[in-house]
Amino acid sequence: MALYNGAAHAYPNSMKKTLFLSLMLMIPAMTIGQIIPTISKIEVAGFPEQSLSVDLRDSMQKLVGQRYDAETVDPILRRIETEQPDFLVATRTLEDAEPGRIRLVFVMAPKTPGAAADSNVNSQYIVESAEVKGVTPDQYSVTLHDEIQNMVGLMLDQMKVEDIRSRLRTEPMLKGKYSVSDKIERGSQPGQVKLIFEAKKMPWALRVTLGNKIDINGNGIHVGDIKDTDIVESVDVKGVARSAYSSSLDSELQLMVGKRVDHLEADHLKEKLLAELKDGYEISDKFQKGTKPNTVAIVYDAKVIPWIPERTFPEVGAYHPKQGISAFVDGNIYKGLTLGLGTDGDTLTERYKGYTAGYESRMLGTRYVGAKIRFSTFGLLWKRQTLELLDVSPEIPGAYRTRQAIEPSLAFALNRTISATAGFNFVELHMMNPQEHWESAHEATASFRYLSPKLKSGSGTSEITSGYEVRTAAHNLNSDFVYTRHYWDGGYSGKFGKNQFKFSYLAGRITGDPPLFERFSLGNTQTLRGWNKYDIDPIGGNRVYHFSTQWTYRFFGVFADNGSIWNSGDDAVNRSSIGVFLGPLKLAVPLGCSSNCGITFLVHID
Amino acid sequence: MLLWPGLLSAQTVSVKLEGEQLRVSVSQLHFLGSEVLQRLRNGIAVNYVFKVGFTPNRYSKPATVTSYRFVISYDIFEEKFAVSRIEPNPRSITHLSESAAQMWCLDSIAIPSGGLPADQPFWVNLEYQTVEPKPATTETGKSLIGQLIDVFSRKAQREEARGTVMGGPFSLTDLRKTR
Repeated sequence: MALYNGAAHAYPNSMKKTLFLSLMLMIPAMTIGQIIPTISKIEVAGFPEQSLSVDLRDSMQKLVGQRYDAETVDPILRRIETEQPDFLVATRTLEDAEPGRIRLVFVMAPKTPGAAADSNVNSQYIVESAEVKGVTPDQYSVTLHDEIQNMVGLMLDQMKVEDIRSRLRTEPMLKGKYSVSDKIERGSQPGQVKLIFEAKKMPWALRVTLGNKIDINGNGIHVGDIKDTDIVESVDVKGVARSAYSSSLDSELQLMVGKRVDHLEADHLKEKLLAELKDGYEISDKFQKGTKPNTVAIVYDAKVIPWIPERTFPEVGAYHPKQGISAFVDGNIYKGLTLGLGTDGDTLTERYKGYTAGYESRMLGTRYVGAKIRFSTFGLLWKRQTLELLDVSPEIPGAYRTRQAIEPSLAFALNRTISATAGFNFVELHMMNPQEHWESAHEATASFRYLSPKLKSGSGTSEITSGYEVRTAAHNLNSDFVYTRHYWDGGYSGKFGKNQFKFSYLAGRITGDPPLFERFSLGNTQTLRGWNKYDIDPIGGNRVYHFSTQWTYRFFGVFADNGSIWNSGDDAVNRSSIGVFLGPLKLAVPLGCSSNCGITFLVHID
Repeated sequence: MLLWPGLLSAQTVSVKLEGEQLRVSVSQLHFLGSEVLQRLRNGIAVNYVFKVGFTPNRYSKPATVTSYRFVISYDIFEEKFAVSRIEPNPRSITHLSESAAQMWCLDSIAIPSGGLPADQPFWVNLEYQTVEPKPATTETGKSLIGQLIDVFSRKAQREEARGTVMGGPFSLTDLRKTR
């Protein structure tokens, strides 16, 4: 074949190993001749010596000082074979500097080449010299230095090289500070190679940040102590009964035991497990140190995905030129404990800043029931337009300096698509006028939400959401405010390749006299984009509807908004806007706007 | 793109039926990237895993995947490549050029066609990856640490050779006609 340069030889690996070991076995007779030498040192090649049992290593060391003869050495050789049944073992002797003394080397080669690291074609060459560049010998142990030098005169042992490199990296003076790679170069004689370990100091920033957590060598990066040469000791699936997945998959998982860590295979089996556990599980895979050196335990941790959706405080990251910057984050920080903080001038007519803290369980023993309690405290800032309009609107409850709330609630799920909540929201408001005083807005709340599964159509997926929420405050809840607030929202989202379509709607109706935080508002970075809520209605309204349509191709997209906010008894004014966006950056144009408006630059992080 | 050398050139996947074995070939597939070649020329052996799977369409995941493991090394005296297939059915070959070594790996991949329906179209998904550089980490750790490493570490030390190529649709009926 024209592609093959030179003579190509294909041969079974087992033949190569047998030939190699036969040659090794012939060498002692040739080198020693009739003199019976004394063993000065014991070495192991082709296998990490530390992986042999302590007892066996002790027995091997007891050979030092004894005369070399087959009767003494053979029992040790058999014991190695018994302990490592996948390896062939032979002995080799090397002359020591002192006459009449030899170094005895147990040479090990795997019977099945799949377990070998010595498929390196250069393993046929003799190591002429071995050195460590980049660090001085006093930066690593004498034992390691000796082991490196002991490789001289032997055939290149890839497994030993990997072992030495790995141990160099973990030497106390090098760990977390140096990366270590290895290479070989041609030696001064044909068939001889120079073995070079190169230690390079890691960049300062990496040393101080991740030096103790990651393990960088010349051939890759390992996080933690797991190496790809480690052998899988066990594979476990936690969180589900054995009967939850098939026997064939279990067999496939257990087939990894005894072999090297194969992340690709582990990922593939994780996906298969996920596919078999159809009933809403998420799976994390963990690679932990095994009980023996150079082993790893793989654990697949299956967790039930709760049916009840996470109920976080409205999160926002936005900028509006007339409303300023808003950034509020909220989330689960540890085992159901939630924390939120930031400032939001985007969502409501007020700008609130402060924090929330709480506890949420999305599965209270069962996927059907969940619970949440949240405490929040906010300081308020008001726009001039809002305060001026409040001055001439005595029927609207006024502004407040502080808003604090405790919200206990229960959640129920019929299945993974339909859920409902019921609870209370006890809000205390530090009112500013006519003099500072506290008022209560104690609400009973309930909601219903539908979230469709991902519906596949052709190559695309679609999702539909729909929700309804009611909040009602009454004197019998010890509330100073009396009102009922209804709110509907939902939408459709479809993704087809790089194209994404979104349609969303919201509508609301309030009866009674709610405090300002419950009134509706339009004209921010998410609704009637391009309009300013303080120009439309600085104190919000008690009626609202809004529709938004959006098309996205990768990061680029266009949108159109349409909606109205008004108070009962007034005429509803319909407003529209259109715009384009690139990621979170948007240019919005309010349509039919006559004064104090125009193209508006907005930022909103979805 | 540096991490996905397989995507850099137009690759055509073709499938041939030999007896009841399917042989996959990919034109323009150069999976030995510059970083891997440098390691090989330093005398270090590099382990590759190839995974081949069949899917009924372009978007689904293969139900079964067949793995092939190779160790590629470079003889620093002969200046030729050697390849050992260590799984399944160990075999070795030496004295290869760079392109021949890559071709030998692909030529070694043969999958039984038994599980495929004769009249249904199928797609071939070929995944390859060097084994050593894959970090043992959780998804979370992978992204955070990966990003920090991208910023701080020497890129030349950490290139991971991996790639995926996909081809289809093929059908056994058509393949039987053309063999």
